Amino acid sequence: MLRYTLGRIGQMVPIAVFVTVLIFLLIKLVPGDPASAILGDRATDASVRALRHQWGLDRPIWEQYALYMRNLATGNLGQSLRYQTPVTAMLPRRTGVTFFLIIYSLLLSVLIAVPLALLAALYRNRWPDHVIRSFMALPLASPPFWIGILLLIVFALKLRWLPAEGYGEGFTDHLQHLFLPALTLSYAFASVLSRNLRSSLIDVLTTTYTDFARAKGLRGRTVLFGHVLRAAMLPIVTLVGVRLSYAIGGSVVIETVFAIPGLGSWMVDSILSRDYVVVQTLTLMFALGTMLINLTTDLVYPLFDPRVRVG
Amino acid sequence: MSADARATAAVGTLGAAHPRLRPPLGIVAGGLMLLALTGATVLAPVLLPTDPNAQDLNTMLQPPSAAHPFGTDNYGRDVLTRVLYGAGIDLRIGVLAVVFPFIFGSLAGAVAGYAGGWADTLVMRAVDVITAVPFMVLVIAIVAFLGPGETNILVAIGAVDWIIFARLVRGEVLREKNLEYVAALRAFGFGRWRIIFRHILPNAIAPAVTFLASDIVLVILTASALGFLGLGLRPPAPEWGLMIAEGRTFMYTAWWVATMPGFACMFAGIGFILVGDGLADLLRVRGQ
Repeated sequence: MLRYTLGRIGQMVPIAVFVTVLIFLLIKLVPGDPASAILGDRATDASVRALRHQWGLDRPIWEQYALYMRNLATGNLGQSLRYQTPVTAMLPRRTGVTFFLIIYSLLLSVLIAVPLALLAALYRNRWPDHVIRSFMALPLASPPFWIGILLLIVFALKLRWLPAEGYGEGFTDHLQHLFLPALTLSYAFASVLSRNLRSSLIDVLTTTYTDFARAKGLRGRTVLFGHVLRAAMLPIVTLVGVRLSYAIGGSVVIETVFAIPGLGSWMVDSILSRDYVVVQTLTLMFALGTMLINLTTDLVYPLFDPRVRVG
Repeated sequence: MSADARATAAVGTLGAAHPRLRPPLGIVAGGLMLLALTGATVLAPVLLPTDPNAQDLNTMLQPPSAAHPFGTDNYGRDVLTRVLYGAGIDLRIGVLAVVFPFIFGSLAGAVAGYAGGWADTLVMRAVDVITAVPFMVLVIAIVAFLGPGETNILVAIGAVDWIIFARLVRGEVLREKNLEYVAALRAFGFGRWRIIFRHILPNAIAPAVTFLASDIVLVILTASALGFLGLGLRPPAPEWGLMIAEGRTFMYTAWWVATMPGFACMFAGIGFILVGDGLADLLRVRGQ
């Protein structure tokens, strides 16, 4: 198990290094000179030169990258030009908000997907199956931010059941404020989850060990939840890792819809105010978060499936 | 009986014996939906005489009615007209944006899978690095630095999206290259490139072709998200995401401005998904 863990981490390190190269190079995409682009038309030559020097833009590219990496290594994640504060000052709180939102939507997705997939699998090719599959196919075709706005109009503006935006104070308040955004994110997530869980359930339902469990005289419910569901969840664990990466991407847009003070809305604000350093740092944070999630699912998987541990 | 007629007859009996060889219902339904939408977009200038950007301050924010089936927005512009012109923009981006990823990704995947060695390492490490950043975040980040606009959206999506095709085709090529016909081709003395492009790729491309439909949906959703965030097309372009963003301001008083473009997007999305799923079924049956 230790060798497996170290091997996975070892594979990740070079990828992480190349991700920093990719993100470092993003600044080169700015047409013209990034420093004058940020400072605007009214900037003096001297101030542009000063900013170029501060960023090391007047040095050779490999020196710029070395500088970038040294800053990262020493925990200097850059300075927000707009707020004149280090990125690290706002990072922990904003990360917490986004983390809350993602975990919340993950839990909601499982709560939605598991019962629906069970129903669909048990009533395979009959009307409950068709209804569930059609309903869960909709988010694949619709913009998530639009679904968020529909929920907002119905549940926050018309019915007034839930707050329309913001994060609130305290745990229960967070739960209320983030319910609609988490539901929006989880609809797309649950869609993929229920589709895969359904076919995985159908596979398990037709195996001989399910027949054996029934033949032993176990009750239908015990077989379903104790044996079938447990085995069918296995392929889903890896899927959760992959889909979480999509959920993280989706959170950027959804946080903007619901005005949630997380990493995503911060990224969009920074883009609109050309705060390039912040955009780079946040992209890196999203990438590292995703890699960490994938690593975790890889490491958690053997706990669910003893067969991998040996191999 | 002519050769063509014989072929038709043969297909006819085959179709009867294997009902699934007939075009599946999904392809027909999805195809009709897409045809209707494209038709409406092309005919929009004839059917709907008003300009999508024509402002009429006497008819601001009017609910759906016979004169304005989708209502009007805050400038009194007809939402139906804008939604249909918007289809032209969003469908165009959707189709154009997948061309480069499909071609480049498939070629990179085919070469990586067949050649192995450093070519494979190079392609797959690039795939790993791009995969490490969430799709949406990376596309947004690239557009953030390039600046908004249709061309930059196409560039950003192209730079990220090809990895899906590379992975799909590489997997298929890895399976194909160990089959006997490839060994036979090598024994005939055929060159490596000829074997890859003339023989393996046509057999390995099916999953990538099938994925095209889903990818177009993914691209349309991404482009509309960029428009929504203010990183896509500029106002007053009737792009769906941008229209949803503009309508959001009035969602309490005039729900139709933000909701109607979304329904259009969903309609297009379902059309493409039905066609893609049908195509997948068809290719799977052929493959058996």
